[in-house]
Amino acid sequence: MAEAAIHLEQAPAALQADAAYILVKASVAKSGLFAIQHVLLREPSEQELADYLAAKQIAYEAELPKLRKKAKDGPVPTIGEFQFDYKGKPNSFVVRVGKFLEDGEMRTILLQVPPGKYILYGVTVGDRGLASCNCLGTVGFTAQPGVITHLGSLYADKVHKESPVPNLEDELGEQMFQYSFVLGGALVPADAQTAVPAAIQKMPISPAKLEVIGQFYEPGAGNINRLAPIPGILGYERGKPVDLRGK
Amino acid sequence: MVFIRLTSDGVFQLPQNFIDTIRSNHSNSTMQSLKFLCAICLSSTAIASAAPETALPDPTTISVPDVTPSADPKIREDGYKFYYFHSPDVSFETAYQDLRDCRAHLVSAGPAAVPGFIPWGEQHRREVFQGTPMYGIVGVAMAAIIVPKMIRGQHSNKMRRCMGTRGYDRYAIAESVFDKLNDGEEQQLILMQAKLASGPKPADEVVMR
Repeated sequence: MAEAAIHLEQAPAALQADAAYILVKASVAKSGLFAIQHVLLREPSEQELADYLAAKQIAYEAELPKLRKKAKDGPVPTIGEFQFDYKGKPNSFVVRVGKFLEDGEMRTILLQVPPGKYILYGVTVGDRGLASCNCLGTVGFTAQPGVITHLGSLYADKVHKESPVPNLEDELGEQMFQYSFVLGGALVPADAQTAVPAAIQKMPISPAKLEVIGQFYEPGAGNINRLAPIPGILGYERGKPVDLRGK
Repeated sequence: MVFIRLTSDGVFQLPQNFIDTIRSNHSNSTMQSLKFLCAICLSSTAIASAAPETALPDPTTISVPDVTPSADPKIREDGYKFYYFHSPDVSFETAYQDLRDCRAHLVSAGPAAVPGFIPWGEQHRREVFQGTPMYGIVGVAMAAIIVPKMIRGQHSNKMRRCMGTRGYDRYAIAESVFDKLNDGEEQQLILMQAKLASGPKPADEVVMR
């Protein structure tokens, strides 16, 4: 797959054996004209990371003469500061509520993705970028090939004040919105009893097995937040994510 | 290619020649920011809070600005912008670690590639290059006014969320005091803030806005 995810707007006739599928419902809150949506990231393989670093090194070395000339006597960007536009296989995408399998108050979305471990990485406005990372805690899950992984229901909205979207940690502080989007996200996990669209009921479907993901850094996000607590699964103690199933 | 070394105390370190390259090109404050970013690094799962690289000083030896509560209504009004953190439940060492963890979120880079490739688990991240002005002459003048406020506000949002979820309250101070606690050499800022954060409970109202 050239894309990180394909949003299937019609049920497939059959599942591809080498592809994974993620089934999710999503809220449809907006900021102006733009939908507030979750961002998912697939953990890259060691080879993908190595390929990225190698490509960045090559691009940086090729650009270095121009960077030195532009800097004149000033500082030259380091490789860490190098604005690198990598054209390799993507691993991040926005769960786009405009491309749905079924419409409704919550849109049903079926994604075809490469198999792998996925992380609920953050929330954004529109179809690009990362306005807020779940840097303070989130969950991940593995999407196996040939199976629909049923994730559950995703909720997202602005949370600087009270939100009409349920399940969010909101009312974080109205003044915060002066400086950047204050977005929050939540997940209500699916289980074996959670309803699925009739068109895919006979396909192999399995509820996602969630894994608590600890804090991480994403310097490319405009703001930081955490996925809302998930009763019985994701909690926070002194701000640090904990797996409640171990307690 | 840059390889990251995991030390025996669980701290990720960049190779010394890489750090030397950065040091030769950047100011000390930038260097400190980069070192803290790298020392409290990304992991493919949870971040292990790294132990301090050296022993912490005795907090009684750390000088801090005067944070005596002010009756000035302007200071009280602006408490949501200018404040320091405090928790009645933490030691100096814990406050230091919390501030170190949270301030590491203040390092900004170019926008995350969404959709695109994000090198999850890799320390080789982009930082903002400060060498070339982004704006024209007039833009530079305007940016000199607007950008610092935007950056301060963005930093405040991040710190409020990170420290707030760890149980810290905010207490209003004058802008000049806030600047002393937030502008300067990173290690010294964290030590000062940690001393205040773990010190006696302020005789003041918590900033709620």
